[in-house]
Amino acid sequence: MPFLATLPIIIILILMVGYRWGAARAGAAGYISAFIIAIAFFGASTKVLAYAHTKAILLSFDVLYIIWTAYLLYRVSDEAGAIEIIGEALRQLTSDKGMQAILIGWVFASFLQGTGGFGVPVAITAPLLIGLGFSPLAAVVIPTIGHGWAVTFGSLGSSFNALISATNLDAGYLAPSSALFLGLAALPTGLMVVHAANGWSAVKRLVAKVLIIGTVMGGTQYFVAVNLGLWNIGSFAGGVAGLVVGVAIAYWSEASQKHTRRSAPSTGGKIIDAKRLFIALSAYLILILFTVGILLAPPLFVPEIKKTLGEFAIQLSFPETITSAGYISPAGANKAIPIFTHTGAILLYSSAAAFVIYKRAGLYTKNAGKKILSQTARKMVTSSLSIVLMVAMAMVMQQSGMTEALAQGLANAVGVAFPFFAAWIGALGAFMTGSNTNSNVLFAALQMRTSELLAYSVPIILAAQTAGASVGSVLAPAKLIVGASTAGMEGKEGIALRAVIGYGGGLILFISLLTVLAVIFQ
Amino acid sequence: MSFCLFVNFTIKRYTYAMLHSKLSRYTLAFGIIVIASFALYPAAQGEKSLLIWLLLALIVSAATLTIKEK
Repeated sequence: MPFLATLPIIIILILMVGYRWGAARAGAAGYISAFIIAIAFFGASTKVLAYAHTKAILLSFDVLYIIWTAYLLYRVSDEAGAIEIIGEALRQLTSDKGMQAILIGWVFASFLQGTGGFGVPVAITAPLLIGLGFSPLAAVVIPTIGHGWAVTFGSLGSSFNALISATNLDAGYLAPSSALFLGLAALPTGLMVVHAANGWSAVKRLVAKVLIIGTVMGGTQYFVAVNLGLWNIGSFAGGVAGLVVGVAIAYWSEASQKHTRRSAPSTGGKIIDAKRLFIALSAYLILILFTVGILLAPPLFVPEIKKTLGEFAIQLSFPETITSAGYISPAGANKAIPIFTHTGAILLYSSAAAFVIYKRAGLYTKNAGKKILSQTARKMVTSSLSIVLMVAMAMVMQQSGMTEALAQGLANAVGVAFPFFAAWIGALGAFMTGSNTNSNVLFAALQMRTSELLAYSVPIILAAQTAGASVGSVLAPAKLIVGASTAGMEGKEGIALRAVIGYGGGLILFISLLTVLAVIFQ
Repeated sequence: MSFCLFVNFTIKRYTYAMLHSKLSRYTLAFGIIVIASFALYPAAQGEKSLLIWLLLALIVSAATLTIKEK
């Protein structure tokens, strides 16, 4: 039985990695195989399947609401040239190659992951790095590794939201371990970025700066996600803090070096004035204002309005179901989806407000609004379909007892060594689907059940799952293709993959060892 | 008669165009899966087995449409 339960996942793996199918096509094949196996071998009745599909669509909507609107906010900013202005301002700060890689390939890429994601961090920063004289390969490798730690709490927390929805556990229960693992992973990530940019000599020279910036980014992410409970802006806040500290360090270093030379070398490009930079950043300042106002500080808005808005939520109750093989899914309701106070809604309000500001500042060409909406819709169709199919497959597997069989098999196979493998399972899921979110949807329930069977801490194992998936997602061929396309490396994705796999493998090993230490010393 | 032919031709033309564009095919598949999955909830509560099978068949067909390459 465990082998049959593994089959849909094996099918997806073979089709995506071996035959290079896209996530939507492979997800469809995985879903159909899970559907057939659930009926033929696990005794799933019509009722079991019907409720599995309704649960799947609710979970999908919860995740897609953030993904759609996060991409919309990114497009609103990008169409106005705001992303280019921010990148250009960073480019002009320092002439040190290692520091440039830190600021653009690590800090700025993490900031972009915090707001957008979907391959955008590499696609935007790679041309900036090439403009500074980095080779196309280095320009792809540096930001690819650089934003890996920021994926789970990035894209406005869509992957972490998937972890919550797939396990039905509380954010406050899951966030501490996940934020700790990913925050610690930011430190080796920074060192790897510097190594990829300028070798070991640069690592030795910049190690202190990397540790300061990494601690600030990881620490801010932890504080915002855990202490403030704003997990949806964890990476974003980490990125903003990293930018502030990174810019200050770069400015200070450059100023002190000016004493030893007559003039600062030009990095080319247009000079960015403070007003333009402030307008460019306004979309993200608004996002912070809305997020804090709606999720954290009631006095900023009328409490009655907030309460009324929060009452409009999608939530269905599901009865207990039982398969003919005897697997019982307990009765319960799905995680409520508050339409007007959801992270997706906050992103939607921020996008609308940012659009008005950019339009008033004259940053848009004619029909920009139409262009933004049509490009967002086009871009989102494929990823929406792949998420819906992957979630449907995961829900059919969960509701029919396939996940349970898989967890039993896994527990028997790896036994006490399971904590070491948890991060690798998450990474594998993300590598084959190209998404931390999809990996959490596919494997979070399995990892949770296996850790329960083996009596390991559930939040630690789920932290390993999502942290492994966070790093694994940036190594995925689907994401590398997006990054390589803007660096003139089309068709050379294999070379890029070979270059990043060592760094990525090192980071996943680091997370595995953290997991083992965490279960020993918990 | 000519109106019927026109309607028939138009439906065929749009169906052909929809099935031969990846984006349209994916949009159609996504729409079918979303609507059918929501419709499954009342169908399951009313224990209407035949309707459930029909809706599940629709979802599987939409998934099959996604696999289709051209």
